[in-house]
Amino acid sequence: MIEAFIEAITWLFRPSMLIILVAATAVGLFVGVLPALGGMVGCALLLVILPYMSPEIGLTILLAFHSVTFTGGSITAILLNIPGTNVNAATLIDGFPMSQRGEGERAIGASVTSSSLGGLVPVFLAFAMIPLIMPIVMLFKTPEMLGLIILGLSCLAFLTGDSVIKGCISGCLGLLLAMIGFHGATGILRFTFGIDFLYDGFDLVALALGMFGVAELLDISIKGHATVAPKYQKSGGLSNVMLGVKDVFNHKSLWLRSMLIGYVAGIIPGVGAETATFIAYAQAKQTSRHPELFGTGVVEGVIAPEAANNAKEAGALLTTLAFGIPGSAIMAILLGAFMMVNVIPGPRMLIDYLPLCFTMLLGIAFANVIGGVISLFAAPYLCRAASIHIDFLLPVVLILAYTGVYVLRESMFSIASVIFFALLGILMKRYGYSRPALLLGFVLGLLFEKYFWLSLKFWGPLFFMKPSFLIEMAIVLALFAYPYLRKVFSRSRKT
Amino acid sequence: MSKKIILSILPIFLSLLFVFTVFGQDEKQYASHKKFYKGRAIEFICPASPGGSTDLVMRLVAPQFKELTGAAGVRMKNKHGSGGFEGYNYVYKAKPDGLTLGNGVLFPLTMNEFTEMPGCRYESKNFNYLMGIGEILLVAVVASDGPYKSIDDFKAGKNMRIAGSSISGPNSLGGLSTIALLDLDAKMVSGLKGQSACILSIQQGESSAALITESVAKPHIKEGKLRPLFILSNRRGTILPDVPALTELVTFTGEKKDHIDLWGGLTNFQLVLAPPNLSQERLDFLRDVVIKMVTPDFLKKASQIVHSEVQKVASGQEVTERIKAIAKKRAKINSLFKRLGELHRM
Repeated sequence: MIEAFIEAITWLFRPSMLIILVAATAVGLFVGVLPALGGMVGCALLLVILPYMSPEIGLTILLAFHSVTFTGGSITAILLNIPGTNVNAATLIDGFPMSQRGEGERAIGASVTSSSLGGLVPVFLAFAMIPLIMPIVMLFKTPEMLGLIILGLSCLAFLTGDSVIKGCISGCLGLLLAMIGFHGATGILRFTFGIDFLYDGFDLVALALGMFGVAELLDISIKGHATVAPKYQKSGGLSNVMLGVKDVFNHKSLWLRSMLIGYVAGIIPGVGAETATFIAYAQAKQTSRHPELFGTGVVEGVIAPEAANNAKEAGALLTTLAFGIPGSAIMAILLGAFMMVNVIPGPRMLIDYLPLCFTMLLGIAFANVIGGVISLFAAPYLCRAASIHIDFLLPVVLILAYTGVYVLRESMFSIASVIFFALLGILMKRYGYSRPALLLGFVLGLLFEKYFWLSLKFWGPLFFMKPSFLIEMAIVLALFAYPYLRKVFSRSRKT
Repeated sequence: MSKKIILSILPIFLSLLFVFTVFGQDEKQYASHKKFYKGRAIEFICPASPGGSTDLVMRLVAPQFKELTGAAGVRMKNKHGSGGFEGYNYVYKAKPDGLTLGNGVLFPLTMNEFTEMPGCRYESKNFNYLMGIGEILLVAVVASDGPYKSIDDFKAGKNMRIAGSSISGPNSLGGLSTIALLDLDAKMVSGLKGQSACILSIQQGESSAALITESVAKPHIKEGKLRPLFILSNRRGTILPDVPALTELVTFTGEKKDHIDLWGGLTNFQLVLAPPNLSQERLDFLRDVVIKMVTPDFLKKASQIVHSEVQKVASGQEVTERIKAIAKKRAKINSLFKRLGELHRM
């Protein structure tokens, strides 16, 4: 094993390889920043060049590229309220308010550090985790997956904003929107009204772009200034960025919990990237001394989801490498990439291709470090984008957004759906309905239905009596009860 | 003397005239096709998402059209929306000038049409086919440490669950056929996301078995995680040649024989296709182009993609005849799987 590790390091740290990695990292960050594009589209484009390279170079570039897209995506989420990738949706809840308050550099510093460390640390955990992966994956059958999704859905309660009823309505609306489209298990088209575009339902990218990004920017446009209010537009430079970096180290336990949530969620195939980030956000809120401040722009609300999103992909990669089972949609593309270069993921991979595994993991670690450094130094300059007057910023963002969604399906309906969700987002904002709750309901709706259906089919109506399912429900209750229990314990300690 | 000379050279002259008339026209037409493609780009549509074997086939085949047709370029597009219908429908409705081509897989192309899945707006028999590569059959797999060590154990199983993904996909329809052919005490559970999820559900013990493509099952079989029972067909596969065909283990007669013979033709066969109503000359030209594509290097790369040794490819004509033969049984296939779904689906 040590020889394989040394071989990987020797291979990776050749000047030519380092230059290629830095370039792949920079492109990955850029792709992450661009709204709607995301790692999935970028990885698909990179597949073209893969056959012309050796597996060591090709796969390492692909993984390095992919591993930093979420870091780049958090920047757009913070500065423009547009999640650069789907998993950055939870970051904008507190990230954008921080930016509006002139703390964009601090928010980016925190998100980039949290994200980069969230991608870096699991790499070193990887080999320690391998014996544990199989038991974890085997444990999570369909009822347990349903329990996890219920845990995710329960986070709706923490996203309701000021009105619980309105938050629940938003969540239910999200669930309803998720039902639109073809149901694979029954072969029924639901609520498509004969429109072929709706066969696959609404696209999450279009929903997030429209409801958060475009809606917010249109709202600001009506008010007539920049995304950052004029009184907050003075840049603090790198010192503000370093404040964010320090915030991560000042919230070590929060970062570690969030990273582990993301990592374990990533190991379990089929959980959904967004589930992990929202669960991490919810536990951050519940364990905070000031949960009422979440949503107004607190740095913990940025650290938690960002730690989870990169760690989630690291976990998903491990399951993909070790078992040949794709842990996420992007991993399915990566699996194809492995097949293209004739590398078959599976348990043998860690024996037959150990140096390659080390090269890939070290490549990811390197990319996270480089990506973090680039983002931190670029943050003060990027934050100036938030100070641009909305009259100039809005057209550029709209063009990027429309182009991004159009590229996904090459259909004008994609653009129409962005506009639809933008209008819905504006109305929801005006009347106090929680948009994150709708997003969470949308993301988890189909997963909830799928695992509920499969649990019934495989286990019968008494599936919920399974001990592991009951334990998960107990965890959900504990999550709700934690703040009250903490108050009780601190009172009893005082007395 | 001169008569002798004329008589001796006349056959030569006539044969040369014949050759130039026949092949010279071909050359002329060939040149005219190449002239058509010069300065124009070909649009190549893949009805699957990036990274899968169908996408990889597109990436293998599409770039070669540029060189061999003289086209200015080839735009490769993944149109996997609506479960792949977006891509198939797009190619079906495209202008039949040879500038829009596509690829696909025989099973979903035909079965989605025959089972009348919503969104299907084509008839598979009307496409023009250029090539078929790499047949992959379905293998019935169970957990290697599970209770089913042989087909007899499997047939004796009680209250089993067969895992499948999409309702009209090969895994689900193969599962229904297996239940019907072997009179299993089992139900089909569709709705898992992909073959990997089906394999995981077997390993977790939630489902008893699944019908998986050979290429996907092979690494898991090799690792000892899965046990293959049989190939759902009347012949063995090329990827798992040691696994017997179902007809080797069980003798079928009458309707059941027709049923299993159906699976001999319904395979995951990668196809390259063109829109209907393409002119015969253009079709012949494209088929000719495809023949030129097939070099040892091409076959080697195709073998890597489909995970089995591809020694030759099926011609467009062969594929067309095969699909027309299957299409004749469309009504029968439709009523068969409707009935099986009502009987055996959970």
